[in-house]
Amino acid sequence: MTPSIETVEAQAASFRSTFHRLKDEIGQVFVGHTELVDQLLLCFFCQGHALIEGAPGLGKTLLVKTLSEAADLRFARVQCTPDLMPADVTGTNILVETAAGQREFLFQRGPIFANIVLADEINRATPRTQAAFLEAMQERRVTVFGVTHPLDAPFSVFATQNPIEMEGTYPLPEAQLDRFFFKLTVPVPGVHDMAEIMLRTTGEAQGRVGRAVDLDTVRSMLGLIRQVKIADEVMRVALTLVRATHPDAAEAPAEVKQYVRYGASPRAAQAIILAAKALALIDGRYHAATEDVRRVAVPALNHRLILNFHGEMERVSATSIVERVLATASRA
Amino acid sequence: MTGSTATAGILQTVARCRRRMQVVSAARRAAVAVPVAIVTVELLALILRLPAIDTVAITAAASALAVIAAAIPSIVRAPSLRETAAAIDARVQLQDRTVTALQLDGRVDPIAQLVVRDAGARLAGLIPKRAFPLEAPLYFRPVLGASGAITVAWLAIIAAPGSSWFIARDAANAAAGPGMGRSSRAAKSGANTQAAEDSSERAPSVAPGQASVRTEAKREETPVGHETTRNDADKQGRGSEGSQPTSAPSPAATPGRDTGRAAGTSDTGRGATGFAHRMASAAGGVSGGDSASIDGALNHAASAPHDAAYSDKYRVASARAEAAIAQERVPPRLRTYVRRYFVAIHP
Repeated sequence: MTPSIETVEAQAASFRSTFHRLKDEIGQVFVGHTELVDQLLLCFFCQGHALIEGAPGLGKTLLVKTLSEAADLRFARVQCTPDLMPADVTGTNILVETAAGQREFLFQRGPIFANIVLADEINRATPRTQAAFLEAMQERRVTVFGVTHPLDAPFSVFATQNPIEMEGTYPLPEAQLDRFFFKLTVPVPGVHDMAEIMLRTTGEAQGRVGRAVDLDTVRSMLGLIRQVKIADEVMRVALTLVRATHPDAAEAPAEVKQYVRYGASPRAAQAIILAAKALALIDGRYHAATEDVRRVAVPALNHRLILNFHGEMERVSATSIVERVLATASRA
Repeated sequence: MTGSTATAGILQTVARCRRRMQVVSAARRAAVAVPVAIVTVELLALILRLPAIDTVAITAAASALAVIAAAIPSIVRAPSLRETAAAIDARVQLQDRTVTALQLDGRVDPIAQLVVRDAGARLAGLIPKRAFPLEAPLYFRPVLGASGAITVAWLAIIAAPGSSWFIARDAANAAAGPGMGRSSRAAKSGANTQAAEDSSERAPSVAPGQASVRTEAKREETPVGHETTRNDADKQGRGSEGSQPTSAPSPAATPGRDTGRAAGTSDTGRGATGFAHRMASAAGGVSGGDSASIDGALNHAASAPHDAAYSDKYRVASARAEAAIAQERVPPRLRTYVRRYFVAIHP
């Protein structure tokens, strides 16, 4: 049955208020970086996965933990190390004794079966374990001993990684990087934010997070986001941006041709459009605009560009190239 | 506001904005095309030495043509409704509301209706004139500045005392009378014809003593004010080269060239040419009635028969001409002109 206009308006208003409530609750613990929080919430409501990158001590893990607390959802944390096995992530069959005294294999669910999974320092896990996340992230199911187990919705993996300590790490392969909806970078907080952090963490009063959203609300929000409209012209902007990240494309700026080996995949365009729709709803609109597309382009594209030898040698950042693509596209 | 009303309102507004965009586009093109047309005509007028009155008329016509040419692309390549909607969104910062609403026209799902309603409400108060004001196009100021400068320069040139435009007009008027056209080639030709006929009528009765008086009287018509003064000795030298017409760099020696130019004046049959005709007639040389006959004589000179009668006639005429210009107080330029004439018709 098609909902009435009033119902949709009420849902949209609920979406906006929930978003702002969640943001406020996260703000009780996580100081500053409001744009980062917005992007994380967008990713969460779009049911995407995020790769959060930042130096140690900047609050990456705290941010995800706070989100899981504010949203009354099942949360699991996986601390990735080189000896972490795929079964530690997905779960495995264990031998149990039934009430009748018989022994049988029972599937013991791993941490991946939570609604929000924090894969801390994911680049420290071996490629084999990283691959265990692949099926879960894309297919939203895991297969153990030939049996496929679907994951509950909503499901988001928030992985963190430290860009500095590269020794003993296994950089994520391109295929896995592409499965992340957004790559978010946590910057060093300013003095004002730092002072606030000190006040909250070294004093008597500790920030407390209240429950701002439940499972059903999150599910209905995802449905609402997908209903948001997008004009062909706006979609063309998103597709042009993605296309312009390919060095062989006519739309590509000189920087892309010079430093990029492979550009973003169609999955990047999906991420951009979905996030733009969510952003439109938050802004009180029922259609995505070009402005929304441009706002989400950097987190959606920056981890999907594979730099060539020159780019690596000259330490060109993918973010700067995406910004260049955006600047070129706006002139066109 | 219902969905269909909102859609109709949106379509109406977009259509109005499209018309406005066409007008603005045409005006912007015309703002560049008209100065360019004016400058082009003025430059052509300077190069071709067109008379002022003709130039003004041609400029007006070119401007009108430029306006029409500027309007044609706006009519032929009118923006589509979607393009207009996108332009409205960009101009009024509607965040793609209009273009999305147009795309969702006819859809019945609640989100689509909300989008259309929202766009309709935003577009309700839109005034196309404010959304698309007349703005100066790119490079308008440089184009306008350049065209203004060229126009001023052109006006200064044609208004300068002694300017060939005015001389041409005055000479034509003086010769043709008030009823004749002031600047057209036909008028000038007519004036010359009349002047030449006048001189040819008088020529036989002119005695050497009287010629001085008449030349003095006619000198006032002579356009010497803006002509380049040459060294008389040099001209004498050139005159002595009359027996070698092919080696002399005389413009008049070239078939089809303007004999007026050969004398340093700018137009055929004006004051200088008339004077030369009279001189030639007075000398009993080969003289036509007008510039066409001079050209004919020059052409004839190129293929002149080397018969004795012509040579004799030439010798007598050139001697008389030399004697005349040696005795009379003739402006140096015109001496050269007469000498070159005889060089040109040298057998």
